[in-house]
Amino acid sequence: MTHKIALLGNPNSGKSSLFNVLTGLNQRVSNFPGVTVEKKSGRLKSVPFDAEVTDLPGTYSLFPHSTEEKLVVDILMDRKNPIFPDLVLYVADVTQLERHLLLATQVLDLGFPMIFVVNMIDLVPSFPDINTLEIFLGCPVVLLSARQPQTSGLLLEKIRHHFNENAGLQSARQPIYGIPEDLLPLLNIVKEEMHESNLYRCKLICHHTDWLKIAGPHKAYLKSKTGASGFEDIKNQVIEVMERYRLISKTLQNIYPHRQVIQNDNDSPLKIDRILTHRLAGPILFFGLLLLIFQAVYSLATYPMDWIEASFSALHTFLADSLPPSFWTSLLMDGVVAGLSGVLVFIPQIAILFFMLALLEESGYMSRAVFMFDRIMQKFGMNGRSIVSLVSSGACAIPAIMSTRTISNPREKLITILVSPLISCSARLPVYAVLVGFVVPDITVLGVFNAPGLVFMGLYLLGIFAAFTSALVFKKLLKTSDVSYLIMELPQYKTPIWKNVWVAVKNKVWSFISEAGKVILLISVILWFLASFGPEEKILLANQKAQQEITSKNLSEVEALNTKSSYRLEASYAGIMGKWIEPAIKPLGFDWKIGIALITSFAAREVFVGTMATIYSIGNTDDTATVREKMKAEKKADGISKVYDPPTALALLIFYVFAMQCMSTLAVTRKETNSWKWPAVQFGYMGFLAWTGAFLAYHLVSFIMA
Amino acid sequence: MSDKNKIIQVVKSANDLDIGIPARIAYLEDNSITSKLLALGIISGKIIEKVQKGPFGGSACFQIDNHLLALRHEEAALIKVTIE
Repeated sequence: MTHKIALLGNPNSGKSSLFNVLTGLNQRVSNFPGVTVEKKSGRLKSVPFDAEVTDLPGTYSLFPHSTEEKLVVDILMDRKNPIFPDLVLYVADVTQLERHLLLATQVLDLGFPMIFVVNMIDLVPSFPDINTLEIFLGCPVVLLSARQPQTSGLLLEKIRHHFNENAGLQSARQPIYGIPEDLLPLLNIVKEEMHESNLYRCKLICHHTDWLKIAGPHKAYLKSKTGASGFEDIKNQVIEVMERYRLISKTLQNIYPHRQVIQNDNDSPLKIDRILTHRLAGPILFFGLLLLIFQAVYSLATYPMDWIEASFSALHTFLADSLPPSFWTSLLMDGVVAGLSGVLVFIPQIAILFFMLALLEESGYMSRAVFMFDRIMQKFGMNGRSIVSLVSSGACAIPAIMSTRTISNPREKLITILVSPLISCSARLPVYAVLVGFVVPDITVLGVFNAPGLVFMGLYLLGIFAAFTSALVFKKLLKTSDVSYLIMELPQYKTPIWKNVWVAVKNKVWSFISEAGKVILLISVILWFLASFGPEEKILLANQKAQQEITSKNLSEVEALNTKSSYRLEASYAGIMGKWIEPAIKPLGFDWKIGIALITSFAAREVFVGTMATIYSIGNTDDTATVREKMKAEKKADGISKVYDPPTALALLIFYVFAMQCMSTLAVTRKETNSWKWPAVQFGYMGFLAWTGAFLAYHLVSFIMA
Repeated sequence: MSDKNKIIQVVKSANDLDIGIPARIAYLEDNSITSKLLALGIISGKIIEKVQKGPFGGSACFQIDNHLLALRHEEAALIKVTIE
């Protein structure tokens, strides 16, 4: 039989560090059923029996105010829940013992066997008296520091002891909180209705009847009873918490009088905060830091990304040379391998961003940033943390959207996810680079500014502007019943624990591969199919046409191959779709060739350049200059006017600023929102912006030039 | 404190505190988030001090016991304090 152990404690109690110590790297990250709250579980190391440890989200009390806290209460109140624990390891920060004992006493009163872990003892000169604390709580107490893994030996000993010998010993414990007598009649009704012998559980049922998992008829009955007895939810919460604090502080006065010492020693972090969260210096320092992170994600990641792409193109060549040309070879090479490369290529950016974010979170700086930007981001329906996601989007929307995990308010998180991809990411750069020359000539404006450079900047600013405006619209549209508040601890600054940073990065990369990777691979194979196959007679015709051109123009072997793929793409399903959508994109000045590129570049925006290269029969996709030359020479059906005149080129640029042309982002949005609804909304509204923006740009510029 | 030295205590909200002036928490107004404030250690009788205002207004950072808390004006308004 596997024992089920839950790690529980306040946020910032060092719970996750202890989890890493107890499970090592042998841990799994998934979601709790039905919600996008991260669930970390792993096998307990160094014990002779099977025990599964689950790291429950940080919680302040059993009167929850967030999705995470509600989830914890749901689990602890539901005996049938698969992770309903046999043993709770409660982690408390020794410097915050009074506050952290509050939840511990509540959980004890629910009747759970517990080991109370006093963490961070390396930070204090003296320790509380364990024996008295054990008597007060009625459970074993262990002192340790998760920063020093060697101190966890005694805890393991106590866990072993608990499961081997005295498992039943704690059940006889008296409740710590004496329930007020005036509540007893109501609680006895609940007790009978729910067959629940624990009175404190009955009390929590009264508080949370609305959202706890209770069968319908019971729920209606309980609601009528709590209503009839005049049960006041908030008033009773306050009474209970105050009474618990009274009992806790009475005990602490006796057993830990020296805790005053810590307080006097606490002035230096305050001095740091006077600068780091200063009204003027704070935001400036923060943006400096963000610039550094952005630079790292943007430039540092290019080395491993180039390496990954080079390896995959080598693999592609190797497969092409060693396998006979067939359906399966093509599927493997251009569908599966290309898709895998499309998944792996994001890993450097994800790893670097989450390495940086883990440092910010671990050191305690992140909560300062949230505090500083709370007000301004609130105006746009977002959270202080959103600013980090939005800036990261400048490199890549995928890690940016994954970083919204830590935003606990669902609406603020959703808005951040929806608008992040509007910030121009690095994949748009190649597209901008190819097209910008068609809009303005490479001249110097006003003596210093390079004209294409100005257009570049304009496109970036347009993305930022659109992101914030859309956020305002979503704030109006998405109604919420959640009360918005900011009550946030600013924990003491600490040196990051490297193991925690490493585990955070590893988990993020793995969850991206295992969850979003599947979707990306699937779409990649579909796109491969669309671009490689077409109705048989059309393909035959295309081959004939290509052959005619090759013989009439006497083309070289390479040129012949390129000509063939160009004709084949035109005859493929993607080509047909490109022609099919032409009426929809004609008002934007786009032809069917651009239509094909729009479809294929859904895989990733930079594919636009590659598709253009195929359409114009250029083999080497790295040769941007040649692509541009070919596009420049391209004439409309009348044979005189150019396809890529300034109105069309600008319209296409604007289209790429706004359009959700990235399957990987949609896959990550699906992963983080746990539904297909939001990626669909994202695709829809960004597509609407793209079409409208391109339409306006095309007609405005055409009008000005006429 | 002897009666002679006792200054008349004025109850005001933690919002109205000046930076660096400690005050004693008198009570919390009942609200749906009151238990959250309590759970974070904002309990009557404790000393609270405004440490820093948020850069763009709207929120402030408070010290209570030996930890720092960031609160918006709306939340801080629920905390009633007296200056001794």
